[in-house]
Amino acid sequence: MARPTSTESARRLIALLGRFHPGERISLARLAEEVGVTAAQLADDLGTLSLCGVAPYFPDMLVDVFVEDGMVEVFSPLPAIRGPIRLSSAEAEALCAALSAAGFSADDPLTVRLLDASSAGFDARALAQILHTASAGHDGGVFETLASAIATGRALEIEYHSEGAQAPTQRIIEPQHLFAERGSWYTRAWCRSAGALRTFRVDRIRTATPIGAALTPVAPGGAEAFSSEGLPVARLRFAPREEFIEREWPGGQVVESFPDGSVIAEVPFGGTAWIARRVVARLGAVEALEPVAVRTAVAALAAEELAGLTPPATLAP
Amino acid sequence: MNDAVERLVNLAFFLADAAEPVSRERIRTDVAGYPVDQDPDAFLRMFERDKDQLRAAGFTILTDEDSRYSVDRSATFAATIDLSAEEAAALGAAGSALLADPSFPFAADLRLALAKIAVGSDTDSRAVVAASRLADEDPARQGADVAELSSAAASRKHVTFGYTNSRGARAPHEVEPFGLFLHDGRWYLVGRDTAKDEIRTYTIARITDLAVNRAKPATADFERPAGFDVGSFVRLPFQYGTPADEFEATLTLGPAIEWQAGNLTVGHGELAPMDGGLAWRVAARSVPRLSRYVVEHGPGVRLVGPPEACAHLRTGLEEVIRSHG
Repeated sequence: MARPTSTESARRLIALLGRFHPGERISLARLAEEVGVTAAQLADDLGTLSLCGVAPYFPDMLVDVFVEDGMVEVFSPLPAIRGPIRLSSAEAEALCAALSAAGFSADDPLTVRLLDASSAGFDARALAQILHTASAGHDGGVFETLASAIATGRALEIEYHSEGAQAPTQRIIEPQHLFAERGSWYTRAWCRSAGALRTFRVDRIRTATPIGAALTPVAPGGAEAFSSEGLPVARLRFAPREEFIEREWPGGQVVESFPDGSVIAEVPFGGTAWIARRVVARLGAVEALEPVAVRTAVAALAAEELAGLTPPATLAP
Repeated sequence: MNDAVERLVNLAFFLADAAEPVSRERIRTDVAGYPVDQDPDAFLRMFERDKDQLRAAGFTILTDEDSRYSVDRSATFAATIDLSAEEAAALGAAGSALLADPSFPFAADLRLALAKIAVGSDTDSRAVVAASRLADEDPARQGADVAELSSAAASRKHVTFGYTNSRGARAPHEVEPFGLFLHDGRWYLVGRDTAKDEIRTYTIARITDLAVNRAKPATADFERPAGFDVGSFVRLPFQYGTPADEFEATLTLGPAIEWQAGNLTVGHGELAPMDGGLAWRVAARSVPRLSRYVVEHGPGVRLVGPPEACAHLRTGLEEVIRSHG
C-alpha cells in the first residue's frame, strides 16, 4: 500500500474527528479499515493528531488521543469540534452515486435524510441531471430488507417473479450475499422451497418479509458473479447474421466456426425457460441444437408467442 | 509530511474555535505550522492551498469584507443521523460492495463519506458480504476514465479522446462532457462533439487516450444546455438508430407484470390503463430490436403495432418453429 500524502492523511483525520468522544474506545483496526489504510499508518496519523490543538498549544489544548492495545481513546473533548464534519461536495456526490447504484434515488427518503443531516445543502437532484448510476430499478426497501436479513441472519418470505414465469411465486429464502453485476443486483440465498442455493435478481423480488431466523449455515465463498460451474450446457448454432457476443450469453464460448460465417457455441444455462426465451428472441438467427429439452422448449415457446400475437381488442384511447 | 498534516488540522481547529472572524496575519502567527520567516507571498499561496484542502474536507470557510475568515459552524458540523438497522445494513452493504469495485469511480470520497457518517460503527452491517461489478469490460480503466470525465463535466472542461465506433472506425474527438450514465454494465458519456456540433453518446469502454483540457482550470470551457438531463439519454435497446427510422410502437403489459412497468419502460413512452394490463406507446427505431425486446421480456409483453413490426415478429417466430420442428 502506497504511503498516504499529507492531504490524504489530513482528510482522513478530519473525517474521523466526529468519532472521538471522551471515554469511548474504538478499535484501531476497524477505524483503519473504514478509512482504507493500515493500522500502523492510522496510528502514525493519530500520533500527529496528538500534537495538534489550538494556540497557545499548552498540553491541555492539544488532542489527547492515545492508541493502546489496538484501541483508540481520547480523554477530553476535541478543541472546538462540535460533531462530525459535514460531507464535502465530492463526498456527497460519491454517497449519492453509491445510493443511486443501490436503488435509492435522489428523492428516496434515505437519500434525503442522509444529505440533510450530513451535507452542506448538496443538491442530489442536480447531480442526477449529470450523473446517472441507477442500476435496474429495484425497490430500495427490498434492498434494505435483504441487507438487514444478511446482517442479522434472518429468513425472508419473498414474492418472486422468475424470468419467463407467468406470475410471481412465494418462496422462503435465507439471503447470504448481495452482489451487483452488469447493472443489476442479485442475492445469493438458500431457498427453502428448492432446498438449494439459488440466485435471485433483486428487481424481480416484489415483496420481502422477515419471518424468523435463518437455519442454514452460510455457504463458503464470498459474494461473486455467476459461476457456470456445474450448469448444463446447450449447443447453439448462430447464423452469419447473428454475432455471438459473450456478454449476451454469459459463460458461453464458440466451439466451431464455418466458412459461411456461422458458428456453434456452447452456452451454460440455469433454466430451460431462460435459454429458450433467448433463443426465440433471436427470431431464427439462433438454433438450439442440443439438448433436446431446450430444442423442444424453444419450439413450444415460439408457438405460444405466435398465438399471443393477436392484438387486444380494447386498447385505451 | 507530518508538519503539513499538523498545520492543516491546527488550522481547522483554530478556525472552528475562533469566536469571531480572524485575519490572515493572526492565522499566520497563531496557527502552528506556518514558518515564522516565510516570505509573505509564499505564505499566501500556502494559506490558499490549505483553505482549499479544508473545504475539500468538508469545512465551510467564510470570508468577510475585511478579508477575515471564519467557519460557518452550522454548515460545517453535521447533525445527528439516526439510521434504522435496515438502513445502516443497506448502506453498509452498498458501500462495502462499491468500495471494492474498480468500475465505481468515486471510491476514495465514498470511503470518507461513510467514515464521517459512521456507517456500521455500532451495527453488524459491515458483516454483509457484498460485491459489485457495475461495469464488466476492463472495469478499472472504465472507472478511471469516468472519474476523469466526471471531474471534467463538473468543471465544464473540454476533453479529447480517440473513439472506435460500433463499425470499428477509430477517430479523434473533442467533446464538451455534459453527463455520464451507467447502463447494463457499461458507462456512457453524453456530450457535444465540437467538430460535428452534435450531442452524442459515447461508450466509455471504446474511448482511448483520454485527456482533459488543463488550461485555465478555474474557467469553464462551455455551458451545459439548459434543462439537460443525462437520464433522458438512457435508452431502451430498440431506441438506438437513426432519427429518420423512428416510429411509434404500441405494446401491452399483462396484469402479472404491471408491477414491473417502471423497469421495463425506464421512463420512456406513455403508459395507459387498459382492460387487463397497461398499453405502452413508445418511440422505436429498430424493428428487429423491438421484436427481440418483446420476446426477451415476456411472458406478458405483447407487440400490438405497428403492423410492419408485428409482421416481422410473426415471420421470425414462424422461422423458429420451422427450424426447431
